[in-house]
Amino acid sequence: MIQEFLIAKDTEDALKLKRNNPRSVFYAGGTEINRLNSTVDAKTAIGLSKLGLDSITDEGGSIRIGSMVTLQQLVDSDSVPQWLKDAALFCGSFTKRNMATIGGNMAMCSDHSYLAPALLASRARVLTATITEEGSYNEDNMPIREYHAYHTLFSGTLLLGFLISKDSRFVGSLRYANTLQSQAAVTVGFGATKNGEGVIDHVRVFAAVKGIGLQRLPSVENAIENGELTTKQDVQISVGHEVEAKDDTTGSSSYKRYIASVGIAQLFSNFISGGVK
Amino acid sequence: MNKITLTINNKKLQATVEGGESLRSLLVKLGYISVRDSDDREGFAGSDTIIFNDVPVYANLMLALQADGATIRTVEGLGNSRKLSIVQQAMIDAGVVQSAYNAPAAALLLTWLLEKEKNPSRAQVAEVLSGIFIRDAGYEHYYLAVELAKEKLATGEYKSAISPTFRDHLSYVGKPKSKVDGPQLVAGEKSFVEDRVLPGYKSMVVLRSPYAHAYIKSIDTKEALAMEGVVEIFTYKNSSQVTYMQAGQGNPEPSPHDRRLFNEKVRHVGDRVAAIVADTLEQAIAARDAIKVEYEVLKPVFTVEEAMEEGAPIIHNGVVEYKVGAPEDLAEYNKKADPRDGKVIYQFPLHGDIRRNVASAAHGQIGDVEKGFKEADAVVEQTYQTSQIQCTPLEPHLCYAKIDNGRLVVHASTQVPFHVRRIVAWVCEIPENKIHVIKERVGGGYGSKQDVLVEDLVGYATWITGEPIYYRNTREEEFVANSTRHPMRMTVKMGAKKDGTLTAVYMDVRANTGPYGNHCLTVPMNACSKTLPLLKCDNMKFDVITYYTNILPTGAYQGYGAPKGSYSLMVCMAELADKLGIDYYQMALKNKVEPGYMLEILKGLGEGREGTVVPVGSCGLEEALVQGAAMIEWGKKVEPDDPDWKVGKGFAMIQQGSGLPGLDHSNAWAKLLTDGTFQIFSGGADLGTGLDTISVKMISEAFCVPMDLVTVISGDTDSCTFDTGAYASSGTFFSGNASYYATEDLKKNLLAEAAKQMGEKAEDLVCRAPGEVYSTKTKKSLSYAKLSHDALTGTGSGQVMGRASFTTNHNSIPYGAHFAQVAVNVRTGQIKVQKFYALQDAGTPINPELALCQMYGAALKSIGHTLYEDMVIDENGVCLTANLTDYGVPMISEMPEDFKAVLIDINDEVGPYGAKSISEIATNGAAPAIAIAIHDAVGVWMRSWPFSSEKILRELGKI
Repeated sequence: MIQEFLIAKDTEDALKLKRNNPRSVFYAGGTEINRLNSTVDAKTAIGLSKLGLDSITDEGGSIRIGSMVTLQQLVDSDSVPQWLKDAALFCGSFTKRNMATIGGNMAMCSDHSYLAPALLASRARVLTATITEEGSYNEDNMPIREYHAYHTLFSGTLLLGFLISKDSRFVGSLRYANTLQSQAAVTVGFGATKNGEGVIDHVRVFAAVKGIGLQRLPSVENAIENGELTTKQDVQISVGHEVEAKDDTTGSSSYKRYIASVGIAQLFSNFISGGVK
Repeated sequence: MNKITLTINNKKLQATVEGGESLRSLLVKLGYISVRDSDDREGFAGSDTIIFNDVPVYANLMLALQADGATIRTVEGLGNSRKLSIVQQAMIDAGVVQSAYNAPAAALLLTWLLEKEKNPSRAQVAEVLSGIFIRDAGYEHYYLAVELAKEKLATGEYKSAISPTFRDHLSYVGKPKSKVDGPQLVAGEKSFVEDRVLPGYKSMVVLRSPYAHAYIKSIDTKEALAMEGVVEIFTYKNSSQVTYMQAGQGNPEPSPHDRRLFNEKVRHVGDRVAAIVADTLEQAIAARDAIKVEYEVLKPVFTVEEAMEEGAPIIHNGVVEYKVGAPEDLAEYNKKADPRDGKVIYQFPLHGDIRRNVASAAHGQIGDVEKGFKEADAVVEQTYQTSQIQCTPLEPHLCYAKIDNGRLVVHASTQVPFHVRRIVAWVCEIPENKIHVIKERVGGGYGSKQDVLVEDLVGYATWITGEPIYYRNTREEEFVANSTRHPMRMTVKMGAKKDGTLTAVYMDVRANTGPYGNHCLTVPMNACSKTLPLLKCDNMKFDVITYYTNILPTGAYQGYGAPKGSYSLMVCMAELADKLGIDYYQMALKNKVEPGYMLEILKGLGEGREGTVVPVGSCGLEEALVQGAAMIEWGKKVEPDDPDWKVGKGFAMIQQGSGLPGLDHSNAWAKLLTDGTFQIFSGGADLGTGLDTISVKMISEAFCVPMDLVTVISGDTDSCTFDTGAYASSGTFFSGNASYYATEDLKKNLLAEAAKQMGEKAEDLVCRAPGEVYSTKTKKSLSYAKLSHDALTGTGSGQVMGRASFTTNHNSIPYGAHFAQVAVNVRTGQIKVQKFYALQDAGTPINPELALCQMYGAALKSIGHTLYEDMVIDENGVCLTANLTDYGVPMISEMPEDFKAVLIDINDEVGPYGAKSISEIATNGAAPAIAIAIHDAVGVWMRSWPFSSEKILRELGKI
């Protein structure tokens, strides 16, 4: 339980507060930190509301989304691509969407994340800030897959925002849960690009599987890029073999493997048939 | 501590807050009690919704320090019960303010929406309500409330019809009138038990068993007792030794007395081990952590099948006693008892055999089923399994008790105040005159508050310590220490001729009562007694056996066993129709009962006694079937464009009861006040359903006075007369009839007094608006005020009063049919309920707008039971779904796309103004209707709850 709330004046201050306060955590929307049975173990919360990270800006070739932008802001924005709005709506509660943020959701990288599979599939870039032992402040711009792959190393890193390219790229995600408000058994994300010659490239396949975590399926990505998987059925079979799952109250491992494979195959099919850009 | 400045409802103020304090906690401390908590910071139910800097948020998920400089709105800023906002009044008028724990939050959200958007779409309404859990009224009439508010805001008056009206010759009955307790509830004012707690109270927490089945070998409370602030710790060693049960039923109960306040043996994870009373909640929790308990862990039993096995662990292996009807071999039977198991006391024989884990059993038949099956051209025999389901009232179980003038005063959120008084008196071993139970507004009950789950312990602890004590279940405790729907395994065998005429029906019901036998006879019997009488069949038989196990506790839940029995019986009939190759709808029409048909089967379906055989009385079953079939276009196949989706249709015939004939008993009394206004005192317990409004309408209708001139007092054991309580669909029919007859008695006495004062004959006098007695002979009139005044002068003849008690052997059975159209995705197993039509015959609906909302609420609830909700326990009996998110209750997003409730207009001959019951029956249709629709869509029979996507996929052979 949070016992202390510190409001950071700026990003550098936030990082210093984080470094100087053991068992502290960056505090965005608070929906995960404060909720019943939260997995966040922290004593001090560092509020980020004064950092100006709550805006969405069009930067020409990309959209910059501040990490404190709420899921409802994503839904309401004219600049945000539909695939990201769809993912934000996976959070079924309007009230909660007014609180939960894109940064908080990505930082949690949870096994039932609303946004992470889609963001990862999109090849977004992550804007971060860190402070060194010596106190020097640095900002970075990294591929989101890197942030995910080394997620545990970024606990002291402040997420500033996301850059979403406006390039033509298919991105889609699907979520499978008991009810809209239930935690998902599986959320899948698929992204790919087709160049002018019809060559499929930059395939990204991710699955958040309850009880296991957020998985990338590189062999499926490679097989699609290499032309080894060309049909919906091919992809479904391949994902079914690749994805890890375990039994829990959201479903059996066989169900989760099946539904993840069906979902990704559906997104692949949508991509091939020229679905959502 | 930190100081913050904030603006709440346009009032700027400063507050001192702790670092980790939640914003909700601060708001409540500042007096904004409408910001309630029903999910322990889960961010699910939305009772804690506020508008923060013009955005709706959950106050429980925010830190108070975040509010520095913020502008906050709560429902207190909208108005108060004397001056409601247009939105609040529209919500009452639409009928959605029922148990109302979330009504203030919903009012706030809808107000915010209408400020942003003058003409919101259904999608926008659904969006803002998406974070609000409404269990009682469904969501459908929230759309109506928005329409009404929109119209009023735009034109100053409502344009939309609120509900159909009934009985043109009546002014109040059958008409939508504002619910009498609506204003204070929607305004978020003090209404509930938690609002009655005075400063200086002690907190109580309960230490619960981590094991499903174990003896307590030792319990050491010494260290805990010595801790700061601890007042007392109760365990099985130092508390009441009275063996009782918690089911609030008629006395003697058809449930075994099989528990004490604390038992030496724990029988489920979450069973009581100790209760700690301390100055503060934190101190009580700290002391709880310091109690040392050693257990002798026993092998648990979780399923009926395990409980039935030869040599299975015995859940209750104590001494058996009978109040009456003890078997001759009882002494021999008790030689095997283990004293650590306590006692099981049967009030009368229930055919239990606790050494075989059988808590109760019942058997009965009419005709000859074997002969019937031989005569059949086709026979189907299938087994259906239902799961364990939680009532999930938004207001958890809680109790506040204190000593006043030497008496124990219990503020309870209960459906059964008089049973609370009796059971607390038993446990405390004090006479009933020493106890005063005050039923506060009930923030959701659905049956679980028919059981005396916390009042026994709080009442006892208060009586012993003399201290005022407040206790409130956590949401997790609501799952692990509460009444739930009994899981049941039902095997139905049904035979019919080629033309669909039924020749025999057999139901074998095996129910799992869990650790204690609350309602262990009545709930499973209802699986038969509220279903078999739907069918016109000469050969019917049932066997009902209920087993003790170590699952989480079970008990009463809206519908009792009827939703389960309906599911098995109706699906089996559809399976038989399918086997015969005939239309299930035609088969239903052929075999349904009709007015005048003698219900011989009832003889064997009394609750622990022989039932009364009566003919079918008022019955709208055929109308419901015919109208429903037309609405859903029965027989017309729907072919979706997307080949992954298949669409099917289903329906179920349903019935319930209107209370328990020959068992239930209601009383009421009424008086004329000195100024000609009225008070009525009903023993009935309004749990948000509008029973108090019914009592008021009885007076208003009879005396032609506005409802505002009538006050109702109910559920108070000191001022009201006895009532068995609000369960078994008895409220309108029994308590309403008591109010009706008390009103008639008052009217008779008033006219007699008027006759005396006016020098006329009583038969020449009538009551008329605006509140006077009028002589049809002399054309003279006498106002009620003058009549009352003169009756109470020094020479008057006394206060004009009326009283009545109501009992009956008559079955006023409500009937109905629920229709569903579902779409099933054959690749993902997803199910969408596209259409759900609930058609019910409630006799004369006294409060039609409330009746419709209860139908929506109960139907959506049962859709939840059918598709989503499930209490899952692990191999040790630990509940894995002990919160609302994991458990899976339906919200507005799960509502059928096309949802309609229809009241079939049938007048009953016994109910008050022709009324029958309304809401329990509405839980019976969804499971069979949806199961049959799924079969119609994709050809698989769903024979176990819930019909999850995974189960669909398994049935389709996809996984």
